[in-house]
Amino acid sequence: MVRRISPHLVAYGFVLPMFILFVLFRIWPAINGMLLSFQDYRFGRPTNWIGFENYDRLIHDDLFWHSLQVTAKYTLIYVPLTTVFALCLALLINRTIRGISFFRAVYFLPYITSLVMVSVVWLWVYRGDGGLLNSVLEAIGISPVKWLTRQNSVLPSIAVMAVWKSVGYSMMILLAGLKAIPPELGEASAVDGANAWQTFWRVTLPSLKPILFFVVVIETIGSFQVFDAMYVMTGGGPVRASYTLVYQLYDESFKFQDFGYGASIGMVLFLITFGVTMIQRFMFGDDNT
Amino acid sequence: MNASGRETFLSRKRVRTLAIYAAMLVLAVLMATPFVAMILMSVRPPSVVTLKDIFFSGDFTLDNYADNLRNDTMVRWFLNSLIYSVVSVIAVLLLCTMAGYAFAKKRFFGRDKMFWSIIAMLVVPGQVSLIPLFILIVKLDWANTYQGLIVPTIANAQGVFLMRQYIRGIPDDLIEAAKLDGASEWRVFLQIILPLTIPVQATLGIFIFLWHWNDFLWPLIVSQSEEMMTLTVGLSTLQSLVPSTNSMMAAAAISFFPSMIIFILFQRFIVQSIATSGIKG
Amino acid sequence: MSFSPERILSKGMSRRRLVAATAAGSALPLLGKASSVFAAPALQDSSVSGKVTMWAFPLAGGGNTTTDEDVYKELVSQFQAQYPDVEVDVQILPWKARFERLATAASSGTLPDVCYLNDDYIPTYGGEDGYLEPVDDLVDDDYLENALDNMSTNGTLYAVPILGSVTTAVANVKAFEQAGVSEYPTTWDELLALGPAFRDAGLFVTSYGGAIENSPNLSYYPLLWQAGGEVLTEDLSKAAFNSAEGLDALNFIVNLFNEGFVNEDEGVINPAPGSGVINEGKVGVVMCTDNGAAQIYAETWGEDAVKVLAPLSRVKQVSYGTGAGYGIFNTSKNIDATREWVKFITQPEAMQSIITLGGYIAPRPSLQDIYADTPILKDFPQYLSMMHSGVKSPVAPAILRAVQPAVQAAFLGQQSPEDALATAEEEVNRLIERG
Repeated sequence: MVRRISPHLVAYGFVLPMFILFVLFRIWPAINGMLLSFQDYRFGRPTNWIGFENYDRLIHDDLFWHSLQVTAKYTLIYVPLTTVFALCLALLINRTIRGISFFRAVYFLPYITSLVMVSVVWLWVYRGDGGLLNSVLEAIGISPVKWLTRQNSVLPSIAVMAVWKSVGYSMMILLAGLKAIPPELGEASAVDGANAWQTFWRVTLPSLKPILFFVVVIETIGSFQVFDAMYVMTGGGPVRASYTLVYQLYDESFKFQDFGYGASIGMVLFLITFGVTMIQRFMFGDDNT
Repeated sequence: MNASGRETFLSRKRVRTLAIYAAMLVLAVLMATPFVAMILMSVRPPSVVTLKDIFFSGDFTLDNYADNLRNDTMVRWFLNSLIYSVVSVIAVLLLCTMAGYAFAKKRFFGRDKMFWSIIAMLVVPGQVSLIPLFILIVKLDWANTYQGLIVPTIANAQGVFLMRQYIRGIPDDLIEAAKLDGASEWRVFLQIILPLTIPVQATLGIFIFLWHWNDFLWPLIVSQSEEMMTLTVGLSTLQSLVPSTNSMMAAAAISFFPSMIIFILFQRFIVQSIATSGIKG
Repeated sequence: MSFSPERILSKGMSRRRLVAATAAGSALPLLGKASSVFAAPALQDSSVSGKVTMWAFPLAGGGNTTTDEDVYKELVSQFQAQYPDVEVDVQILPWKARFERLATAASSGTLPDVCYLNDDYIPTYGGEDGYLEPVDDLVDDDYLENALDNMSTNGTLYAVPILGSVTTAVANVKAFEQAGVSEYPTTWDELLALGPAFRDAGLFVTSYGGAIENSPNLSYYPLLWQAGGEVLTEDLSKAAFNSAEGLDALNFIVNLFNEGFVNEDEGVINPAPGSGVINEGKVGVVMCTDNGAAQIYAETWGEDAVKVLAPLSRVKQVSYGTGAGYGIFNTSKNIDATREWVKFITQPEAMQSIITLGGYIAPRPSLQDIYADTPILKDFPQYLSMMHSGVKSPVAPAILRAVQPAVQAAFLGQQSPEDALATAEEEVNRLIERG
């Protein structure tokens, strides 16, 4: 005999484990984190409320503006690069010729590596003398490039590595989007006499717009949080050319133990993320997924 | 399809196909080169350093792997990463499916508010919560422990969202029919919901595994002693434990193998579910 | 004694520490005798109990924790023979990010009972309102005066000295031969004069490790001190490196890079472990090398290729030297047991077994000759008197953050040395003010 338990209780039974974990470990710390930015919470000292002082200090902090600028610059390089590349890959593998799953696997493979490990390999790729790239360049008679030790080239270099690493993910998403386009549209376009290029611009791209935009948003949000690569590869250098927002957050919080100040940087990050997400919702309505 | 003779049409198509293959091959080579380099370097003795030698020398050795695997600390790191990832995957899948089921199929007080408060967390970057989360862990006496490492990461908003979306697509009749047959709630969950969600669980599982296996910042902060470090953190502190770059590559390769195995085994699920369940990955 | 981890580790280390092993090997049997030295009281002491957690960092060459663990295991079992109710847990942590780790532990209340601390940590953690227990009563007469001063603040001792390290210039004899140079430099000018010969031979006369994460203690500061300058004013209230001396040092560095006398890439980013021009024997003189690093070079270059030189001089002949000791945190729940443990491991025999892991110098007069017969290591103690210790200010790590990028900006040509120093000075003063 099945015992009749109140359906409400049953529902709570299913949902509460996750929800409680959420409240404890996501929602509460997040609120706390925001509140922390209004406090002076430093190493070995009592905490006290200081209102907007941290933010005031932030606004006048050259290093903050610098790290924000570095992050923005990085995003401007990384996002278009990865989106376009992901789109190209997705278009290429959106077919059923033989061996396609092999190629798909190879393009996706870097995504499953850890950034820390990837850095080891890429440090060698970018090494000034004897590294992979410079050895190849030297072999064809071009003088070596200082990839990671010049401020002009460090961000693009890291961006290329990041693109290599994560393009597989966006590629898959775009691939799903491509597969969702009704084939009749493409066929109709061909019947009208359009070639592949025209079909792409007039049919494919417009159909892909929402998903493309989704990819751009996800990548932008992620790009603003970039830290691992810089921490492991360049230490934020040369001369802070790769010192990002989250790097500063890490330093202020864990190196200098100024948690309140670090939290205020976290808030800035949150506002940026929120802003970008709001733009997406505004332009494309509610989450249609 | 057009007026030209059959032959011409075929060769144009063939050229096009060849061009596409060529493009894909070139890209594949570019994408794979760092991996190939890593593997090659990992089996070279320390003396082999120039590019030419790395690719073309005849010297091979498994010493780099042996050295790393003999290193107890490295093995410990590997195990920690494994525990961190596997336990998290199981916990996340179970709890997310349960919650997703509740949100998708059940009516209860506060349902929508709860759901949206979870989704709202998608917008909050992890760094905002990082410090208070760490302080909370310390207060619970969980610093430098497995539970401190794992438990906070189980709360996964994308997982809940994904499951809810997917389960919404399960016909209500199936559930009703089972209940009419006298199945208890838990049995319905186990025998209807779980089996039907296997594809999305596989996908979610892979991503959760990967994300935990490659996680860096959180384990960096939670681990206070070398024995509690995960592979990613431990390897980043490794500056002297390995005698050469080639040995470092072997360490990198070792850390990469589990991810690769998981990927190869479950690859088809990813494509399947991304295609069927919609866009959010 | 910061074991100059960043610099050394970046040059790659090898596991087999022949020289240190010999010395350590000779000390271990002594430990067997130690229990007879501690015969009074030979009886087991049950008055102290509890668990003692200690944080240590790898002293053995190569950062290989195994040898460190062996030594500590032996010490722990000796100690427990005497104090059976005390459980000692020695954790060997990596050098990287240790400042963050300690600071995070302090602010989250998870400090261990005792920790290995460098002298520049004492101002931060010591003092009346600090985290450290005064330990004046744990030292006997057999300690060097300046070793004790090093670990004290305001006249109170906050850590029991365990070792000292000396850095000086070390030359690669083979590189000199390759460059066709037979004279070893003693001053900056002499070093610069040798530059072209090395460059022509495809080598580098010296090196400069200017990566952001490196400590200026091993890069910029020694040059600043050699030029006669100081990092901060005597009262530690303001930056003092933006001076004629500071500029002199910075110009010297810029010159080295401009002339191609150092490997530029490795001046910006530390080479991967096991690689780098120093490892490959392409560098003539490695400045700021400590005992541990010298032993590594003995392995990679060959023992007879290592020649220990005197620190270079400009206006002063000086180099970076530090001391380290064991500090007991006042948050410890087992202070009594911890104090006994610290007293035990700083006894001469125990101390010797620890410091010989890396060839360090003992802060005890009675142990000054332990390396008399060891090649390379025997050449270090004589420079003890020329050592300049690190910046003794609680904001030292913050200063680091301003100095490294400034030096990089100068030698990469992004800023003039004058501007770089001025920018760094401003930032440092601001950091000091904030406290």
